[in-house]
Amino acid sequence: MTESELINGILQRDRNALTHLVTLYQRQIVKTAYYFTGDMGEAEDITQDVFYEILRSVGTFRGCSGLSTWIYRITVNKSLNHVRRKKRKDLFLNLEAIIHRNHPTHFHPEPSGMNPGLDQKESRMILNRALNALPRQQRTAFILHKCEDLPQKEIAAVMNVSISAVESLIYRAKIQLRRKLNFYFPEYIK
Amino acid sequence: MEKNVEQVDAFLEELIRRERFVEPDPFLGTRLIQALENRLEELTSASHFMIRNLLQPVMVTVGLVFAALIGISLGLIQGRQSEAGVRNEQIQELRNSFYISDFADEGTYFMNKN
Repeated sequence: MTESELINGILQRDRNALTHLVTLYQRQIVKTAYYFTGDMGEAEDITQDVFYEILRSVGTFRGCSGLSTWIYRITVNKSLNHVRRKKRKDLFLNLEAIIHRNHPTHFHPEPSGMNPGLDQKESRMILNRALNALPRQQRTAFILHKCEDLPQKEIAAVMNVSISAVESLIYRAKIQLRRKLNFYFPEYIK
Repeated sequence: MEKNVEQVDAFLEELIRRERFVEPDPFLGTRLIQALENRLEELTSASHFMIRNLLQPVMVTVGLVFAALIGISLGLIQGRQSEAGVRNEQIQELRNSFYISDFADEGTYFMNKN
């Protein structure tokens, strides 16, 4: 099935086209959303939202970029919105915890350097916290480049910026991440 | 310091590498297809809902307003016609009282008299 056949199929609410769409793009969407949220359950919810959005607005897809790029764009926007809402919610929960003299909900793993015993949950938390501390543009560029292995040209198309801007965003993201992750190498902190 | 940067970069690479192995629920695709089919049904029933619950009352209201307007305009026409009938009767009475066989123009009538 070609891309235009797939789009026409979705427009006509053809069930085979929908199945094909899900088979083709579910992994791309869920993995991208996962890198933004750090939680597979939330990433799966975002994936469902992304497919609803595709179903709702496929008529507005003009084909200037590829379908995959358009879907990446929807996924990134949905994920960033989700993370923003979650941050706000967490802030309120933490404030509530402070008011009620309880411990905040965040768990802070100890700085341990390249600890081979670092479990999956801890490493995910470290990566997620470091990524979430980045500005939105830098985070998006870095995730699409390092985690999704997208070429810079496609990242530029997804983010609607120039390729040189993407290069700069990735570079600045790396510098910021080094600073954030320095915390886990206390022997070098001056 | 250089060593530190290398170590931090390696640490970051390791964190990303670990995340690559995280896989979604193998039944996610089936769940998504089911959810999309449900959404499609909702959309279809939503259009039926629109026709049944929104368009139908609108059409009935428009029909009633149209019927009322026709009734009012018919009533007005009838009223004018009956008024005209009363006037004709009065004119006929006047003509009879003045013994006027035909209704002539006022100006010419009096001029002819003079």
